[in-house]
Amino acid sequence: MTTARILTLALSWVWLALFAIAPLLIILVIALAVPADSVPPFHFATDPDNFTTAATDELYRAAFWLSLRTAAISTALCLLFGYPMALAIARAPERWRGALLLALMLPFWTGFLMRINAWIGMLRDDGWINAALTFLGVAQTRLLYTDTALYIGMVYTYLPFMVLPVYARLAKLDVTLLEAAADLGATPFRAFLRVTLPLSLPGIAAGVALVFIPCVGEYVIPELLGGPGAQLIGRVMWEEFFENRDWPMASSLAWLLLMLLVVLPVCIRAAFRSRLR
Amino acid sequence: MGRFQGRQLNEILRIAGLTVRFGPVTALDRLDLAVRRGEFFVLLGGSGSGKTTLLRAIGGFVTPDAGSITLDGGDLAHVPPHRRPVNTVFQSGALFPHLSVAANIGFGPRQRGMARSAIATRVDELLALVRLQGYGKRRPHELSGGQQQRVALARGLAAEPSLLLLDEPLSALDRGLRAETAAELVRLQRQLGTTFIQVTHDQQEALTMADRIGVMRMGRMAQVGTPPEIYERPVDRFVAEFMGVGNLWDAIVRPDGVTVDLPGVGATLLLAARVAPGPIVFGVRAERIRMRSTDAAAVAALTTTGSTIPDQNIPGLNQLVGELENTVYAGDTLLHSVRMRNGIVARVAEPAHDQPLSPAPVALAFSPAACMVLPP
Repeated sequence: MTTARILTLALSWVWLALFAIAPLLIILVIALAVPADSVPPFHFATDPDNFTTAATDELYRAAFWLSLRTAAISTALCLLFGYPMALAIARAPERWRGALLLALMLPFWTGFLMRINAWIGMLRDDGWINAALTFLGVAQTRLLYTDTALYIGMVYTYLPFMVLPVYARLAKLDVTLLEAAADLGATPFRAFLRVTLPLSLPGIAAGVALVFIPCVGEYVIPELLGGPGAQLIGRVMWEEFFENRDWPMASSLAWLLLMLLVVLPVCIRAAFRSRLR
Repeated sequence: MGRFQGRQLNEILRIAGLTVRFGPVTALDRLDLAVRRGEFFVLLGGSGSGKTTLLRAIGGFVTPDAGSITLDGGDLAHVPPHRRPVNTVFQSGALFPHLSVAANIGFGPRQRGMARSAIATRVDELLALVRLQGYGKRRPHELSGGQQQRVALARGLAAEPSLLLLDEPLSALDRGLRAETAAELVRLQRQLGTTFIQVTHDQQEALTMADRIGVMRMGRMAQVGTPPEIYERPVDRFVAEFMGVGNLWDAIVRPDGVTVDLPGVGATLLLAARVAPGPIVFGVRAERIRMRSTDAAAVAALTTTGSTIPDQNIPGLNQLVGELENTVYAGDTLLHSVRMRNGIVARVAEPAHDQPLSPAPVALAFSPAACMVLPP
């Protein structure tokens, strides 16, 4: 190995060690500590009770379950809206594609919190959407602080993460394969089912992972748009940390979530692998 | 499996006045063509001649601006590709990478609603036909280029199409495999009796494979005929050039109709048959010309060998003299350039030999039977 290669590799390992492994280890140490009325609010220990509580307590289990369900529904909605968008961009004339992709990514030019706050303005009882509904003669509907608002926020935020990998896959798809399918008697719909869809599965898998994982731990959207019932795991952790000042509990929840999110994608990938090979 | 149906002369496909435009480009220009049932028809042309567009129009992937395509008496104008009884073997093969070889071959029958067990039987038949028994479970990427092409062929034949279209099926293969696959295609076509229409830019491929050839130029059919007809009697300068006639000279037929003047050379050339007097393009293949150095004995020997005189009724050989300018070694042949007195270069191809050649006066000789008379 040349010196340059060693240096390059060393750099990435140092980066990983400093900003990924070290924080995780710190959180693990805190998770094993016991809470105390001090600064910082814990004493070092090796107490696995927090993990047991995090995994078994009814409140936390409900929060984990709700988070997984919300993430699954959000991911499904992103796929439902994102796939046709990706297909439309991939099939658009070449000179349009750049502009369409730019439009897809344009919201990233503005800060995430700004955009969620803008949604509050739109979803409020006296907001833009209700104004439009009233104008059309539909009764005013409660949107903000409901699950509807939560899912609108989730889909709005994570849709590009579904569209981009699916688009990348569809853009590479050889159109001759669709001609071959038509030539062999497949209607356009059957050609989609038998050729386009299976060949875009790796893109779908990437999109599902990119949307599902951050959705599970999402804190800002349920906090700002969701109702009080939307006690997702991110919110629960925040409360443990900042309101109850139970850092060890919050840390063990964080570790449990991490394990969940590492194990789940491995399972999803294994499932897709077996279908593709 | 289709029985051998014999070489019936009735027509399966008729194309009339077919015109296809891509923006300002006219890809097909009022093209007419009739293809006979059970024949191996080859569309031959250079790039941009419209041969692939014609194939795609028959397959339904290109919408004509004018004209009609009639298959077995039925107009195909408003029939989408998936309802045409026509299958295509695409240039790249276009095998579905996510499906096994068996599923690729069974794709057509499955779309047409064949029962699962019948599909399995049909797939086995076709694998045997293209000599790929036991390959059904493999993925396309696990096969060689030649094997992939055979799977594409089997897939095209699986639904028993009235017409099989082949878009340069051999172009992706290397040389040795190409000859082998070509022979395989012809064998299959004879065995099944299915009408094949194949596109190629390779005249050798067309000559060896076709029952009839259609030479295309600028979206029109320049000439349609059997390989010997196209090779021996090209109708015009373009077809002659495309079929590798190396020498095409402007000349004038004398009023007697059998002798030709090459302006500036002073030689008189004899034709094998009487033609109308006037200006013509005179053609002779490079490989039909014999070349010797110009000593009298050699010329005399040449004229008496007889082997270059296919027809003994012709009194003599046509002879020209010139300066040997250049010789190119091409493996089995030597390609000579001989500059004649009028400045025109005659091309001569002869079997390679190890006699050294130097720039020198040479005599060229060819039989009147080798002469082609083309419109100017």
